[in-house]
Amino acid sequence: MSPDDQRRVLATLTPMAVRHYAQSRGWISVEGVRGRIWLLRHQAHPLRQLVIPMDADDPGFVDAMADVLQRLAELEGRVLEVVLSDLQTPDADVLRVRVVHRDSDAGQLSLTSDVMLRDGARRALLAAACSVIHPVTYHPRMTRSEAESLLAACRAGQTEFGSYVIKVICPLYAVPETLDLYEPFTRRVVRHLMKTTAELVDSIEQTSIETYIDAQKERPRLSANLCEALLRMQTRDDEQPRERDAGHLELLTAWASDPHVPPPTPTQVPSRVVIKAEYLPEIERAASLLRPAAMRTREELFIGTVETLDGTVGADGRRSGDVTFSLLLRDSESIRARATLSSEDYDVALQAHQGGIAYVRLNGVLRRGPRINRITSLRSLELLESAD
Amino acid sequence: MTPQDIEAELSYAYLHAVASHASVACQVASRMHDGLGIDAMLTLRHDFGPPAILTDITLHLQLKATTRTPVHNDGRFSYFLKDAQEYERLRKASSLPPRLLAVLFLPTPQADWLTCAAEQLVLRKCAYWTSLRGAPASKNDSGQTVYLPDTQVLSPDGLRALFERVAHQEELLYVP
Repeated sequence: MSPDDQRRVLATLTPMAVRHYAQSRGWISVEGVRGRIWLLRHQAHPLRQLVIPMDADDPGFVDAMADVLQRLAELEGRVLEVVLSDLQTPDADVLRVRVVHRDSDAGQLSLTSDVMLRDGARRALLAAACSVIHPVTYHPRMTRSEAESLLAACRAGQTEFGSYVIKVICPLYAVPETLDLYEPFTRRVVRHLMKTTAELVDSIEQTSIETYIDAQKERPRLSANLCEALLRMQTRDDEQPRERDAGHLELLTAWASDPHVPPPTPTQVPSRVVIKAEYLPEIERAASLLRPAAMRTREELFIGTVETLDGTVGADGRRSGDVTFSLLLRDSESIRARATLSSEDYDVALQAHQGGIAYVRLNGVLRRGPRINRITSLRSLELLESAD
Repeated sequence: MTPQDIEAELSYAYLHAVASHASVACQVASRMHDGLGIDAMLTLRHDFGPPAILTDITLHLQLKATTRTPVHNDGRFSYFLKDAQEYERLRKASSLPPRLLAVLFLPTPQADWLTCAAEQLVLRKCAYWTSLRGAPASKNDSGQTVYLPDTQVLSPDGLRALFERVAHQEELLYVP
């Protein structure tokens, strides 16, 4: 952001919103100040103060806001642009997903990884929303109306500097207060997402996922859907073996500064959770444990397209082997899955691939994996007739 | 470097030296502040004790340097501020953070600006500060003559005294 842009944004801030933001982060009012300003001091650093003009038409407003911004950023240890962005959205919890990976060092990510990251973030919020409404270990369809209303109100913010960061702005009052909740639905969802992900990571690091899942049998917080969403956000090397330092993913939250909805303390809900790449197999195992047992071996009908053909020519001179499909699932999710095909099925896949956007229908068992999903027990594969 | 560049750099060096000696943090303005006509920011975190309630004070400074010998009259120096827009910004500035004008008066011969020897580093003459807050509007498009009290020397002691005045919420108004 250029300095001119920064000043333009500073000029749009509302004094009350800046004051609420500061108060939600440990700044308290100082009495006895003269003039139309609010003076605040920090609880943990008593000498540190903020001077916020009460009137946006004060001739020194931008000047003073630049000073406030710099002080906030310094104490929070965050860059100016990120704090400024949060000051612009006082009535929203802002979720950031940061990818730290060798591919993202230059602030770039493959287009496919970016799409997966955004979809994963969207699905993580959806899964958390469904669990807030109906806590079960698996949501067959994530189509709860409140969850969908929340997702519809969420906005994607501009990507930010710092490896690769996407931002989802979740307005606090996205869902009308019909659920008789003591705090807005959005806050419950974001709180659930952060707390549950932190608990999952903690169980991997400290105990075991079995212990964690057993402990919440009565009222499950973690769902297979949330695990799958977290897996989806990971930058993929597909078939490449994972290196020891394969990076990590961070979920970060900047809580809204609405004075009627105080933010949770860091001990109640962390505002940062780090998911190391090496935890992925455990998260996949958690997803598998949380899915209904019948799903693990249940044959299903899938519709999809053929994405890649990696077969080899056999002794009979015909090609067979691995094929990657893009499958459309019931809740409009699409996933990539690999299957090992016989030469007959491979011919069908080849025809579909050559036909451009040609769909296939297949029956088999979907086994989800941390990096690649697989179709096993493939019973049939056929080319779908073209609609025209 | 042009002589004007050297004058500007010497004014920063002067400010850094004086501020450091007074335990005041001095920061060259960021790009964001630069666009607001601020050259440097001085910050002091200090509790001067009651009734002073400000403990974290930043002063915004516009820095100037000149080799023109100023007219000294009635205990004040005159200085012609060439930029009318800068004058407007300074006179309309809000009280917090205070925005001040500081002018370093250098000797005319360039060779005398700074001398360096084993025993001493000498930057000749000194800078004064003033607040233009509340000054009248200018009728001149090319600039405005402003006055800097000779008591307002930008020295370590002068700087601490200035911060103490701000800590007590004293309004720094222009004295024409």
